[in-house]
Amino acid sequence: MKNLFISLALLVVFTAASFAEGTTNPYNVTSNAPVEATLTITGNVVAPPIVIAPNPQSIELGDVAPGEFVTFTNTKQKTFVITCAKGYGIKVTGSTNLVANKTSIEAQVAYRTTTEGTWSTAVAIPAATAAVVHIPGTATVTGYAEVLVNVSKFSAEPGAYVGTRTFTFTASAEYE
Amino acid sequence: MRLNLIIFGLLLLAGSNAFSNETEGGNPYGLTNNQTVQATLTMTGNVVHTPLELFPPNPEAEALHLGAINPGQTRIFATEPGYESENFRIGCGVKGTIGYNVHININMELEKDGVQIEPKWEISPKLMGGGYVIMPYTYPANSLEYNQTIGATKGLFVRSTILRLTALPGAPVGERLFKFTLKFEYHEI
Repeated sequence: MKNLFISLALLVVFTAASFAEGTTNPYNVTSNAPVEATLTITGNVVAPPIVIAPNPQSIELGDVAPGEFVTFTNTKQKTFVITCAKGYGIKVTGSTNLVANKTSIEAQVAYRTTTEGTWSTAVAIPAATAAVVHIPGTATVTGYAEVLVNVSKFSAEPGAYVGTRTFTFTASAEYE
Repeated sequence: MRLNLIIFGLLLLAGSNAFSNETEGGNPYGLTNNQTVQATLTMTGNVVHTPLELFPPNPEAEALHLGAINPGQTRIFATEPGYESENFRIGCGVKGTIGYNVHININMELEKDGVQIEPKWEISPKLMGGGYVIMPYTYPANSLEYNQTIGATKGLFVRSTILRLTALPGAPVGERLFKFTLKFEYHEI
């Protein structure tokens, strides 16, 4: 008799548990419910870094006597090659010390966007930091530009002491 | 059920990390479009100068003849500035570097065996062409130091005018030779 009651109790418990699970409907679907799927595809446009090479560079201007000057005709110049994103405008900002201890230089900068292209009109490099060239975006479809720095004159004032003078042209390039 | 949820959550997290890494890998530059790069060009030059060079090249060949004088006599070659005779003037210059300062040292023999001379010293920042100023000098000092900047003609010139010749009483008869020694060197101001 006791066993019978135990058996009945277990039967009731299992049956209840079975009904409890049976009433759960985790999918909640009807037979013809549509489902949708979405796939998002993304990509980035990135600007490759502007590269200036070779860098750094140097020019040896030679000797000058106090009170004298020497001029150069396209003999004291260096070219910086710029590689950049195609179609972007580039602004090159530069400055140099044009005067150093009773000596001075005159220097200009120009650019072109192909290796055989025509140089832009040369502009004097200012002493103060300022834009020296603006390379328009339409001109940089090649992703390539050359910036030419030319020194045309090296002068020494009367009484300038003997010794080496250093003039440093620093330029920074950025997209604009 | 709960375990499934936990596993699903972990997979989702792993997936999002994988996508994140993929995005970074697709942009190796990590740039904004206004990044700047710098370039440097160093230009060096030398200032050089020429050594001092005597002008005329052999001043010892230059000589001034003051003429004859009797013992106890004085000859005055000039009485007013600007009226000195060029016959009693001698000079020496140097070619050098424009704008540089030159130190001039003059040593003079002013008396020899009872005969005395009185010079006046002048200097010009030009190698030729005048512009002389009188060098500060008090007779009978037998040395003179002076600084002069070399001018536009890349040289300077020093000259002496003999103002007076005196033979003391009893001075022996005979020739006298008076030497001026000029020493030039670059000198900082």
